Amino acid sequence: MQITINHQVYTFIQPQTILAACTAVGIAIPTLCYEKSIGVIASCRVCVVEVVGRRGLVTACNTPIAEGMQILTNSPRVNQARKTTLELLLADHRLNCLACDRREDCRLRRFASQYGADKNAFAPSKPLPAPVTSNHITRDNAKCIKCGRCVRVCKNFQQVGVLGTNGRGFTGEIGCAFGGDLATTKCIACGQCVANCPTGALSETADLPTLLQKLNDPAVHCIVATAPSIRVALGEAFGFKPGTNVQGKMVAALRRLGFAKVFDLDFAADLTIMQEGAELLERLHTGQNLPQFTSCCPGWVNYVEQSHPELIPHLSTAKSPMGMFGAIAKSYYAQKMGLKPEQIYLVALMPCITKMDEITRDDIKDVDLVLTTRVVIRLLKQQGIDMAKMPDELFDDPLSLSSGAGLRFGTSGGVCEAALRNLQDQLPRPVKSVVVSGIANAEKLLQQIKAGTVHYDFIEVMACPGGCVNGGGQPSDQSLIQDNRGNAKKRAATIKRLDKYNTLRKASDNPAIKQLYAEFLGDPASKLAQQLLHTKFCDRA
Amino acid sequence: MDFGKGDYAALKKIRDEHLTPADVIKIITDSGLRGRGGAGFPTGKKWSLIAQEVSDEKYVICNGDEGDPGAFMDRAIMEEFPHTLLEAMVIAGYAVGARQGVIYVRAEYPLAVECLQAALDQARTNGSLGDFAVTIRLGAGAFVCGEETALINSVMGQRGEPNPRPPYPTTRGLYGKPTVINNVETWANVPNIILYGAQHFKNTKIFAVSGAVQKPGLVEVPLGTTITHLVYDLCGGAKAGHTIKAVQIGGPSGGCIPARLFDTPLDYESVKAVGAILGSGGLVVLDETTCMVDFAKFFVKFSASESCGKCTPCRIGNQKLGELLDKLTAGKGTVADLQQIEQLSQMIIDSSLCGLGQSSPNPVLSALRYFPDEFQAHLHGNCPAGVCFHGYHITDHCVGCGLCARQCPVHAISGAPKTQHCIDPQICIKCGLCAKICPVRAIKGGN
Ligand SMILES: Cc1cc2nc3c(=O)[nH]c(=O)nc-3n(C[C@H](O)[C@H](O)[C@H](O)COP(=O)(O)O)c2cc1C
Ligand code: SF4
Ligand code: SF4
Repeated sequence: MQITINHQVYTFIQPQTILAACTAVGIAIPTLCYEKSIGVIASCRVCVVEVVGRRGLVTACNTPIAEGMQILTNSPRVNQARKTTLELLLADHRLNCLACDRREDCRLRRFASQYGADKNAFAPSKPLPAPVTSNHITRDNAKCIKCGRCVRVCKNFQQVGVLGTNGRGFTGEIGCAFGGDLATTKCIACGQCVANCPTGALSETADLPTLLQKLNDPAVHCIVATAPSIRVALGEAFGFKPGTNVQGKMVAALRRLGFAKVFDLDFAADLTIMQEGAELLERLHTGQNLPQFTSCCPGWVNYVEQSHPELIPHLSTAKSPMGMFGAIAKSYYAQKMGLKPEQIYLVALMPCITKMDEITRDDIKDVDLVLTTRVVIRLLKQQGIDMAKMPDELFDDPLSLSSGAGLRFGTSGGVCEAALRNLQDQLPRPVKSVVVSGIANAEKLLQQIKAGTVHYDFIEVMACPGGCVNGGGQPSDQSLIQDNRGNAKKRAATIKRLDKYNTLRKASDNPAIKQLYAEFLGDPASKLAQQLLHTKFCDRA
Repeated sequence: MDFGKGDYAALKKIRDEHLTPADVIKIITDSGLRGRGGAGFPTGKKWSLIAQEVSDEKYVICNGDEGDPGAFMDRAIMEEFPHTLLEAMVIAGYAVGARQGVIYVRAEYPLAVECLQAALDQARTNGSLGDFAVTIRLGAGAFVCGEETALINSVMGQRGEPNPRPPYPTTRGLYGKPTVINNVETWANVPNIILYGAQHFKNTKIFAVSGAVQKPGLVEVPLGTTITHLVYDLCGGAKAGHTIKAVQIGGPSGGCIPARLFDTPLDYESVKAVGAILGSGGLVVLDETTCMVDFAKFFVKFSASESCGKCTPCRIGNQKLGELLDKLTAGKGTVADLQQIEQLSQMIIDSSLCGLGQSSPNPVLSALRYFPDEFQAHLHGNCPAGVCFHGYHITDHCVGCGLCARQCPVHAISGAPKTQHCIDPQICIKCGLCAKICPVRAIKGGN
C-alpha cells in the first residue's frame, strides 16, 4: 500500500492505522485518550491529521490507511486544531503542574507544552471542583479531560464498572453513579484507573511528610521491603529501557533515602509459598475447599469479599508476602535486632494501590506505609537521587534471600508456578491448575466453574491484567503510542529470565527460609506460623 | 387515532410479482430516494451495503427521535401513517435480510408512541408483518440520541454517546450486527415507491416552516422548489409591516440563507453550496426583528447544552463559543473575539467526533458570512435589530401613569406618580411587556 505522509511516499504492507504508520516512519502524533490495550475511544481529538480530499480532519488513532492516501501531519490547520483542543482542555483545568502528583508522567502537560498551548486562550467558565479522596485514590476532576480511559478499564478490564459520566456536555463529570463515594461501591481499589489516567486527575495518596519525619527520627528504625515487580519498572523513569532490572541501583537509591535496611519481599514470597503450599497439600488430601484460590492479590480478595462471598472458604488463608513480611519483621526480626516492634517503621514498596487498602486490615497492620512505584519515583527525584548514577548494591540480610520462584510473584502465573514447583514431589495426584489476571477474565472463569464446564484444584488470580508488573501503582508507558500492557510484558520477560538464572529454584531450598523455620517458626503447621502468617476474610457483599 | 388498518399493498405487490430483494433495492436506488434525516445518503445504496453483509442477524431501525427545535414532520407521519412505516420496515427487512426492527421514538411524542403501538398491535393481529418482529423503544429526550451510533447505544441500554466511525452501522450496528437505520420520512416514502414504481416518485420533502411568515406549518414540496416559492407563495410571505431578511434551514446543524439568495432551489447540493444544509427540514423565517448574532448564539447554546460531552471540541468548544457570542451580544466583544469565534468554529467542525459537533458552528459561520455588518455593529455597541444589550428606555412622552411599573415582572421600573419613570437596565430582563402596555407608547426598545 502506497501512501504519502507530509508529501513523502511510503509503502506499507500491513493494514494499520494512520497513527501506527506515522509512528513507524518517525513522526510523532500526540494522543491522550488512546492507549493500546484500552483501544480506540477517540474522544480527545488531539491526534487529528489532514487527509487530502476529506472534508474534516480525521483522528489518526482509528482511521486505517488506504492506498493513495495523502496524509498531512504538519499543516497549519492540523497544528491549529491540536493547539486549540489543548487550550480548550486547559481553560478550566487546575493548572498547578509543578505541584501535581502526576507531574512526572502527565501526557496533557507534555503535549500542551509541545504545542505551546496557552492556558489563557479561553476564559474559564466554571468554578473548579474540589478533589475527593476515597479508597486511597484522589480524583481531581478539575484536571480530568474526560478521555474515558478510567471508565473503560474499570468496566472492560475489571468488570467492576463503577465509573461513568454523570450529566452530559460541559457540565458532565466522571465519577461513580450519582456522584457517590467510591468506597461505598464495589470498587476493589486496584488502581488501574489511576495507572491509565493520562493526566493528574487520578493519583494515589502518599504520606511522604510522615515518611521523611520517621527517616529522621533517631528513635525509629526505618526499613523498606520491595516487591518483586518494582526492580523491573523503577528504571523507566530514569532513562532505562522498559523491563531493565535495576535491583542493585534501587537498593542503593533506597539506602540513600535514609532507610536503615533494604529488604527483598521475594523472601516473603517464598514464605507464602511454604504456607500456601502446605495448605494446598492439606486440601488435596482432605478434598475440602477445592479449588483453592490464591489470596496474595488484595484486589482479588476485595472482589471475592464484595462480589463472591461464597468463595471465601476457597481462598488460601495464607497472608500475602507483604502481610507475612510485616509479621516477621515485627517479631523475628525485631527480636534479632533487640528492638521493640513499635520502634520499627516498615515501608513496603509496592506496584499496587490496593496494598494501601490491605494494610488497613486488622492483621496486616504491621506494615506502616505503602508507597507505589510512581510515588517512589517522585520521591527519589525530589530528593535528588538519580538511579542512573547509583552503584549496584546488595539487599540486607536476613530477610532478603529468595528463590527464583519468589521473584515470579511479580507476574501473572508466578504464584502458581512457584507453588507447584515447590510441591513437585509431594503432590498426591496431578494437580489441575489455571492462571487468570484481570477481574473480567476471572469472572469469566468463575462462570465456567459454576456452569461445571471446567474443573480445577488450584487457581491463581491477579486483579491487574498481566499481574503486578502491570499493577495500579506502576509507572505508565512514556511511548508516543502508549502501551502500558506492552511495557508490563517486557517487565515480565525480565522476571522470567532472572528466575531462570537463579540457582535457588524453589522456596523450600531457600536457606534463609529454612533458618526462619528452624530458629523461630518451627514448621508451617506450628501454632506460631498459623498465628503470624494466616488471616481471615469476611463477607462484605 | 384514525389511521386505517393499513393495506400493506406494497408488500402484497412484492409477493404477487415475486420481486426479489435485489429487485426491491434496485427500485429504491432508481427512485433516487435520499435520507431525510439530515445527511441525505442515498437510501438504495445504504440498503445494498447491508444486503451484501454476511451475518446471522441484521436489524432495521426507524429513527423517530426528531430533536431539531421547531421540527415536527416526523411526528405528523408517526401519528398519521404508522402502518406505512411498519410496511416500509418489513420491506427493508426483506431487501437486506433482517427479521427484526426497532422504532426509536422520543418520549416527548406520547401520541406518536400510542399510534405506533396501536398500529403495531393491529398489524400483529392481522399478521401483516409476517415473521418480521418490531419493537418500539423510547428515547429520553437527548438530541444527540438521534445520531445513529448514539441511538444504537441507547437502544442497547448504554449511555447515548456516539461511537467513532468506521465501523459504520451498515457493518457493525445494533448488537454489533449490520443495521439499516433510516429516518421516519425516508421510510414513509418507501411503500409508495414500490407500489407506483421508481419513475413516478416525486421526490418530495416536508419542511417545517416557522418564524416570521403569515402561514407557518408543514409544507411538502418537490425537491428543487425555490425558497421564494416556499416562503412567499406557499407560506404567505412576511408578516404585515415586516421584511424577511433570511431563512435558517437545517436547525442547529444548518445555516442561514439571506433573502438575496432566495432563488436557491431546495435540494441537497444547492443548499449546501450556499452554506446551509437541508437537514431534516426545519426552516425558520427571519425578518428584520431578528438579530443574527443573537440567533446564531441561540443555536450554539442549544448544541452546547445537547453535546454529549464525549469529545473535547464539541464539549468545551461550543461552551466557549457560546460565551464569546455572549460577549458580543453584551456589547463587550472585540475584533480579536470575532477572529477567535471564526477560528474556533472551524476547529470544532474539523475535529469533532460526530455530526452534532461537526455542524454545530454552522449557524455562526453562515451568519458571519452573510451578515458581517451585524457582527461588526455589535463591536461598536449597536444591535441593528434592537435585540441585544439595548434594553428598553422610557422617553419624555411618559405621563407617569405607573402602569408599566406595576406590570414589570422584575420590578425594574421606578418613578413618582405623574413624573417620567425610568428603567434600571441592571434588573431589566428585556421581556418587552412595558413597551406593549404603555398607553402613550413612551417606551422604546432597540435603537
Ligand atoms: C446530532 C444528530 C442528531 C440527529 N438527529 C436525527 C433525528 O432526530 N432523526 C433522524 O432521522 N436522524 C437524525 N440524525 C441523522 C442520523 O444520524 C442518521 O443519519 C439518519 O437517521 C439516517 O437516516 P436517513 O439516511 O434516512 O436520513 C441526527 C444526526 C446527528 C449528527
Ligand atoms: S479521570 Fe483521568 S482517565 Fe478518567 S476520564 Fe478523567 S482524565 Fe481520563
Ligand atoms: S461531537 Fe458532541 S455530541 Fe458528538 S461525540 Fe463529540 S461531544 Fe458528543
